[in-house]
Amino acid sequence: MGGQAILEVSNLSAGYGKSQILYELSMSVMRDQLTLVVGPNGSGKSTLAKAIFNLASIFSGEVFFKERNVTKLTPEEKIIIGMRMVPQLSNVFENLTVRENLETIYFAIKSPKKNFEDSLEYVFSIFPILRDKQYEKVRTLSGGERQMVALARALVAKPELIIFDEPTAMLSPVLSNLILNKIREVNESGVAVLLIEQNVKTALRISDYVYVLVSGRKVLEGGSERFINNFSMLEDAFFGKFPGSEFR
Amino acid sequence: MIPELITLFSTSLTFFSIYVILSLSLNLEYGFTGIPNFGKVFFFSLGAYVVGVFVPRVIQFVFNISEPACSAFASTQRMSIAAQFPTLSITIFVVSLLLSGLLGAFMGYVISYPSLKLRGDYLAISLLIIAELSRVFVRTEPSIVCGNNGIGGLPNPFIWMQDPVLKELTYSILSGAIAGVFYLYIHRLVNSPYGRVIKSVRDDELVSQLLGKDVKIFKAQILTASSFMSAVAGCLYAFFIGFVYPDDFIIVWTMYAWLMMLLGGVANNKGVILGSIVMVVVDRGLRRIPSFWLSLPFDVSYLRGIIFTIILLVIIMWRPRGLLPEKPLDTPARKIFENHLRSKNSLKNPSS
Amino acid sequence: MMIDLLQAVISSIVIGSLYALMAYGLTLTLGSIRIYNWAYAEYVTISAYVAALSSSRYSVDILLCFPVAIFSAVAVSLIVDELVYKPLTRKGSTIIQVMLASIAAGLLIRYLIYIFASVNNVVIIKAAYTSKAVAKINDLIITDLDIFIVGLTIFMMLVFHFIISKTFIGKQIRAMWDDFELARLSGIKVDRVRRFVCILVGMPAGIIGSLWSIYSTITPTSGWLLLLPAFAAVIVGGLVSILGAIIGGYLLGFGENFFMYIAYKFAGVSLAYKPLITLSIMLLALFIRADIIPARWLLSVLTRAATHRGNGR
Repeated sequence: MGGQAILEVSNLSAGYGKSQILYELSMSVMRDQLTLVVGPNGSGKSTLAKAIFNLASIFSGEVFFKERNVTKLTPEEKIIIGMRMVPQLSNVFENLTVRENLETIYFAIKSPKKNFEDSLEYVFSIFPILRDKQYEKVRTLSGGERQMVALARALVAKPELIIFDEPTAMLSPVLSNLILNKIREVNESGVAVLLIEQNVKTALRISDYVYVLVSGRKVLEGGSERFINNFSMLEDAFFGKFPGSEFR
Repeated sequence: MIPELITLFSTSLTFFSIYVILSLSLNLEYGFTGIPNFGKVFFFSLGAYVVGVFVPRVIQFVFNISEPACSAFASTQRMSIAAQFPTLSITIFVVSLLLSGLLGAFMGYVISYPSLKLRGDYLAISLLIIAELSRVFVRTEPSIVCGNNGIGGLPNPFIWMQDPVLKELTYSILSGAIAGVFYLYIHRLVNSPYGRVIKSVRDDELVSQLLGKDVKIFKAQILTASSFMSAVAGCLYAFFIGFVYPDDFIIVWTMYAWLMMLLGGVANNKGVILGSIVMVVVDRGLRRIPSFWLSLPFDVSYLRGIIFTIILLVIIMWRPRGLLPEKPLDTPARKIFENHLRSKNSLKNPSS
Repeated sequence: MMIDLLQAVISSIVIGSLYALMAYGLTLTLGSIRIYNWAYAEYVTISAYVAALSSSRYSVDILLCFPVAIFSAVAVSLIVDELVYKPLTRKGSTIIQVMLASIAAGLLIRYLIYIFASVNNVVIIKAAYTSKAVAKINDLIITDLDIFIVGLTIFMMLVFHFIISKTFIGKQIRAMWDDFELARLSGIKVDRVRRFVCILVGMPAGIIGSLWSIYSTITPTSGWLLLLPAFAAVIVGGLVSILGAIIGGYLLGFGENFFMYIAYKFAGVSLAYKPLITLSIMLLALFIRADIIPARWLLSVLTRAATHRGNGR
């Protein structure tokens, strides 16, 4: 199982400043799989995403990408080796056009201008609306379109792993479904996905494996079909009832 | 030897008092309430300008001195007259103190209204620019303190004392007393429920407002009180030096106040005292040493300036919240809490 | 008298151009790196001294002094950023701490300039170039220096605009301005872009310093005295708008020269009140932005006043 993991988090304890949020968390993301992380508010899901990208304070533990220890790499270095993150908020440059948003991330990694057009084509094939709006400032787009730009930015220059931090947070149910389906599309095109979500039911349907986080600790994990058929097990875990909780 | 030592002590004590008042007021504004005052020297200068404008004109009016107030001749006349009339010198001093304080308080109150609506950095820049531009104005406009030349002949309240050493000593003790009064006032003010409120305003203004605290009124009160203090400090300074000139009131005073506050620790009043002591020692010390040990091809004050800016930079880069930590508030509620803790612990250890 | 008025307009445009360019550099630094650069004054002073010294003491041709001065300004800009600003940004310092550090750094450099100037006996200096009149209409004089200043500053601003809006590094600067953290997450090499910004804003400092050494006499506080109105212009631009800062620069140029002249001629206001005019413009802009004086109310008062006069009241 270890050989297939594109991302491996090992005993990670992290937080902000002096306060600790994650406690010895271990998890992994397999290539070609869509891995889901769920948990109640404040369980540390966002911190996990930030810690993987070295945007939070890491107290102990390690992060491996393609079997390489990347714990200490800066965010810029992680982008170059093929990791991407789409944060929950402030995930687009509002005062830049759609095209410029994609340019900034593309040219930070690759140079050939020719391939940029190919990359754009790929992105526009997944998000056709953006093709028409590519010369408009993101500020003028709707919430759903903005989120698409955020996702599009992560797709440029073929990443190998994308971490999505609650991508449906500000969206209506219709748009949430749309975005989640797009994320599934991206995963099926060969990109490993780590999806952090509040929208458990829908996200469960598009994912392969799921981790449940409560108060900074992993309390439950397993293949998604297991939980689709046994949803109450997930619900209980959220409220503190999970295998091993009797011993706390 | 002894008189020189006493004079050294008097000068140090006077400057220490002035520094303490300035940095306590800044600590009140920024340390406790979160208002970044980069124009501190402006309020300080107000007190000094009151002395420079009011004192000479009053003396010359009462004693019918016709020479222009700015002339050296008029200055010496004012000094000799003041030396003969103790009651006059002291009355003028007391009235000046009050006027300075009132003008400072008024300005502080005026500033408080815009300071509410402006973000911290806007306010900081504006106050700085106000301080600098008003200095440029006063140095060019001759009718205030004789333009760039400044005005002298500002008699010390104790000028009638025969012994100049005694005069300076008495003045320094008076300054120290005033500083002490301010310290006690601030100590009572911040170690009280009022202090809790202003700290909450500093930490999160929105939450404070949601809790029903009228932030407007608190900020106005704080700025009025602290500007009162700054102006009084300026008044004390003017009488001590006996001379007021605009180029004295450069941004360096503001930076000194910030340095003292940082040296001692933000929101730590005892720390501010410590910072002021360090400042007086270093500043006065640096004025004496070079003439003994070094013969510099340039003005010693530049070297002093370099040392002080380097210290300031070092502190900002390594200990931005100050050297000493902020202490929890010493309110009556806390005293009850600590007593309770203490009695609980003594119950746990019956061996004591 | 008309001539004097027009002369005042000329100097307003000249001074305004200098303020506008300076405010452009300050706003750019503020937006992209989030630094209030009070030490910028000293970059200008240093280059002014370099230009003045090269020209008067070493008899370098005045045009050659410019590159030398620009080079020193850029060098100082990079040094101060590496030593002071970058470590503070990395530490996550608050904006007030940064401002404190920048004022302190500026003062430190100024003291060094004072020492240098007094040791070498050049506390007051001027470049060895006398401007020649280029146009003379009755008694109105426009010198070659006037034209050079306005031309060069406007040219610089246009170059900046081109770089920021059309080049790739300009896009990266705009991205950093928009959202610094996201820029890092986008793989933008923020340190490299930062260095570029320092070089970019160092150049106008060098130009302004060189121009000023010809236009006026230089003392160690020359840069600071130019910085104050420049920052006031930045405030007029609301701290975020480059166009606002440029307009502010010209507004202040006119306030200090044209309006000062009018007040002097028609209301007998002494020239000492010039800084108060600068202050009033800044405070007015501040109050309008902070909504203390609602802009709409001000506009209606002004239009009412204008129409009253039209009615022959």
